[in-house]
Amino acid sequence: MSPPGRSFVRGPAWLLVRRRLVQAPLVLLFVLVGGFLLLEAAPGDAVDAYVASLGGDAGLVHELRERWGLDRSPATRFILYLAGLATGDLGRSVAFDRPVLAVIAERLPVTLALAGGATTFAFALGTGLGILAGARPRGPLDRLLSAAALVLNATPSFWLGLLLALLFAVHLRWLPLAGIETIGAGYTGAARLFDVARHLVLPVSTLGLVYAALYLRLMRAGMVEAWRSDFVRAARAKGISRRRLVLRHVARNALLPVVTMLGLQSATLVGGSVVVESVFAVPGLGRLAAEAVTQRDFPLLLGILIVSALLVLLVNLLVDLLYARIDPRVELGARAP
Amino acid sequence: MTDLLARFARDRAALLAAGVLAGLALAAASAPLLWPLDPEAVGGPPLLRPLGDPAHPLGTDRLGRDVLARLLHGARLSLTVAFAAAFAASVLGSAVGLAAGLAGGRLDELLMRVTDAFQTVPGFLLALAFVSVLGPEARSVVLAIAASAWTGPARLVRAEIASLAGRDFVLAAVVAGLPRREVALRVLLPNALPPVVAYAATSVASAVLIEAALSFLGLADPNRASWGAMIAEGRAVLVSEPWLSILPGLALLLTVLAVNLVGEGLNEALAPRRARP
Amino acid sequence: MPLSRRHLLAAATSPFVVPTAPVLAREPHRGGVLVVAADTEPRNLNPALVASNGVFYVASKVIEPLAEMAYGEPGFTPRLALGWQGSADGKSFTLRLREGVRFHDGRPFTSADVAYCALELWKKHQNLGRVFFVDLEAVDTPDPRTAVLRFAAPMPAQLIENALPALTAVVPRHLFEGTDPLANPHNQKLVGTGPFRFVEHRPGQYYRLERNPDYWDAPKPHLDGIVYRVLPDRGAIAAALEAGEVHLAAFSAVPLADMQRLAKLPGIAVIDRGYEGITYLVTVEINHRRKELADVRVRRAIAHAIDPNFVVERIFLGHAKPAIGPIPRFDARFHTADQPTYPYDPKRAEALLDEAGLPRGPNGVRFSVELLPAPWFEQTRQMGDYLRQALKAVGIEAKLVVKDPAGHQKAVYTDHAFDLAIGSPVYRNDPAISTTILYQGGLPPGVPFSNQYGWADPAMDELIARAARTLDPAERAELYRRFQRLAAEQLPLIPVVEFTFLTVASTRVHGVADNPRWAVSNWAETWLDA
Repeated sequence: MSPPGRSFVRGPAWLLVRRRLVQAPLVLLFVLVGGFLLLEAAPGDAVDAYVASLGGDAGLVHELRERWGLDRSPATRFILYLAGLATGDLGRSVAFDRPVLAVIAERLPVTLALAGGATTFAFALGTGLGILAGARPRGPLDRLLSAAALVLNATPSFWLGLLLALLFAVHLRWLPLAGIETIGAGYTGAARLFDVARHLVLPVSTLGLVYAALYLRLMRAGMVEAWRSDFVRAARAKGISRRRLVLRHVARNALLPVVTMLGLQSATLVGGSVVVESVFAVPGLGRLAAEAVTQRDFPLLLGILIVSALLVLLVNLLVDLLYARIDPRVELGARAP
Repeated sequence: MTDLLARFARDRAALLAAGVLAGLALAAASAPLLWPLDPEAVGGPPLLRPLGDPAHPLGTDRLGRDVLARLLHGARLSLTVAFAAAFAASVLGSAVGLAAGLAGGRLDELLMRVTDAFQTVPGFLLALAFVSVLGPEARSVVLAIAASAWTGPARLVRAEIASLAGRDFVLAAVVAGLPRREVALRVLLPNALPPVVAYAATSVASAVLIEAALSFLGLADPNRASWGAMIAEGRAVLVSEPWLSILPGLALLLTVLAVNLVGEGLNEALAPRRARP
Repeated sequence: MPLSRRHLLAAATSPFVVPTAPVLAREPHRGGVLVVAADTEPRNLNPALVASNGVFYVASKVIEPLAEMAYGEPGFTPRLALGWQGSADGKSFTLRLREGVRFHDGRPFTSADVAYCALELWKKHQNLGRVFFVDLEAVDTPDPRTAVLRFAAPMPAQLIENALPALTAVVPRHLFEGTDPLANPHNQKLVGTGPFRFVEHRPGQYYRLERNPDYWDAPKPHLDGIVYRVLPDRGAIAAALEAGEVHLAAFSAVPLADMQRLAKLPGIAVIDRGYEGITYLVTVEINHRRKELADVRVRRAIAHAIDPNFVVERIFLGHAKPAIGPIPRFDARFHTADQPTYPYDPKRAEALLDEAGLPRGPNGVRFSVELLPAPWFEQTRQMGDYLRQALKAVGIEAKLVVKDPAGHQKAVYTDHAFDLAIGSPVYRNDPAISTTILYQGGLPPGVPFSNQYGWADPAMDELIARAARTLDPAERAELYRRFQRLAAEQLPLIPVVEFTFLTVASTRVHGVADNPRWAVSNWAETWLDA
């Protein structure tokens, strides 16, 4: 792997981290401008969204626009927003009438738990089964697992979620149907953790199964390729035991695309769970973002984009660092910023 | 090219899948000839079960519209949207990834930051926002999906290029005096493509599912039948009239399955070239 | 004196609905927490500021109005006001208030609270009150039990009385005076006089209310508390009911088609009473700026092209009635069947269109329109699908354009970028509150759920203005009968069906649907089996 004895701080890994830190604000700005422009281009504004639910007279509409600062020009509003951002103020959500930071902070742990749980579940299950499948390509286990993965991959997550809910929550009553905790039960500490975990089983499984299929297929595909590479052929020729061959050589080489996929999936941490969050009434960021679009709540949407962006940047950085560990041929310096 | 096809044909599953896909596409294209009922005609007997009435072999929905007609016409929308979006995403993404991987340095940085920016916006939300702005016509949905899906191929291609660049056979080509462009197009790109092809299959699958999810939220083109919208409508009566969701879901499953198998077949067919020293 | 009111209640039409007997022989059981499905979390939960069903659903258990609607005569139940009387000249309205009422923080309720709410909240900020109370000049409070509303121009006592349930929620003056009402934290942390106290709101999850032990109607409420679980997904609501995680879902939160299945399950009942006081209409809104649609014959043709029975049977699964004019049958004081109607008759529709000089072209199409169905109800979207087909049958080609609520609001009510639209206005116990505004001319753009159609008729405007000022109830009723006839003749918009909602509840829940606005009233009478 990396030559022994090289310290991290002076090494190429640190250069990478530093470079990424410098570039992050630019990425963020680009995202913010894009998000803002998109909301501006959408028909109707936050006041329209609000009065659509309750009616009112022209005076009310006018007064609300003034109150919410929507009578100002888009450029002014965006600059004001950026100015606030510079002082760490994410603004006030129009739809909820609360500080954006508070709204997001409430939902972030839930989303992280849901998405993190689903990713871990999917990664573990998917790569594990993928290795099994790829160990003997075209063998009976491979065919079975690949077929199952193909079917799962094709299933709409909301449909899968409903079916699982019907089976486990309605018919069998093994698991709770919706929400993230039993209301009014007042659990604390470990009991609360357990209660929340129980509530998350169905949504995490729904999300996780869909992604697991993806990892399985990728892992298997990568392994099939790796079997043919010189590197593996050479190892095989050396007479290494099959088990070691599969795990140390074939699987390791197949990890690259899978790790890439992890990086790609990081963005879906927020958005991809929108539908699952709706079906199971999980108060997460995905659903919140979709609501922010419908309500034309630009401080909230931009706030979520920022959080999502930071997460993605972090994960991508980790993924790039992982590359170097896995694939000794990847150069961290010149080629991989 | 011919030995590519020959290799592809060796994978019977992929061949079968390709056949199924072609059949689906043909059925979609010739829908009005195949089954002349109007998919939008309300007023027929509602909620007929499949295989009950020969006039409506797959039953009818809540407004009395024929399910078979809606499936066939829905195939048109789902297939065109998905393939168009995946194609656009793959082409755009590969171009960006190739440029970034080859150029290195500043251009690579810039392109990767742009990719980062697009990737930080969750794909489904980007699609949602686009559709809210542009309207739910098929064109906007294609644009919306492609706008978020191009980053996958871009990163894959770039990663492959990065890992291939140091390989012996590439260095050999450079040392042999091949101009950079040749190295890129004839040596690097073909070896970088297999993951993109495999991913393209995923792109089509996810495009179909994103369209279904958008319809689920009521953002489908209301003038046309789409599988996603059918599942959304059938969802309300999932327990009592499950076939309304199951049938379009099966159609989705079949399509995606076929696409994935074809993708894998292509992957296999392209793979042996990688091992060339 | 509260006026008498004849109550017309249609018998349950669907075979699977279980009617709840209004009075049970059993004694209400005290205790238990009712778990209810909620699908929205309004940003402002204060019904004194926001008069909307979404707000009332949660807030009306905590904050009470001056009076509530009731079945039968006299049609009102006193809440914070025990009695009321309009003056002969219509310029003042005296309220006799209840004694011994305390807010949840212990402070007493007096006429000063009513005066503050009326002048500072209902008149200045409330979405409906801004228009309704525009002539309110002052509120006299000669003693803590009496409040006199004084108007600059005569207001019919009947109209004010009709507005009491929806527009007169009372919040504590001492918590709002001197603050910016729209930014007051008590718009979320509610404090009122109601049978339940507000405990907490976990955003995205639930609202929790608990019994008010000092309620003026003690020993009520029967329930220990109410929990509103936030479940935005309708499939989840049905499954929650089945799994017993939720006791009740109101406002047809369960998809209509699921109701049939649910009703067959033991332990679950579907109730269609309790919403008559908030009847909704499905209307076809018409943009008269479009030359073809400005011709009344074309509008009548469109009306003839629609089969309301199809809409009732297929879209509402029987839970609706064909509309006769914009005032629902339930309000027998004003509704009249004696007005022009346009029965389903496609041939007549075609004849009218031909007569209007719009023959079918070579491809069978007379002209094309853009149709924008309101996105917020499943039924209005389906109505859009149906209308498209119905119009196609008479040679009008309609292209459906579906936007999200903000986009729809802007397109229809501000930009007027539509030809036809499907709307769903609600009737609030008096035509003057939110119905005549659909016919009134001269409104500025941007006012939702109003006449943004580019149509104005001076005769209609005059009728509306007079009826809003006429003090004698009999005269008023006659004016509104003329209003309905003119509306039906000119047909600026087409009422198609009137509909209410359904409640799905566990059979353990009792005291459901005991007034015409039950879901948005205070649930003091509701109880759970042991």
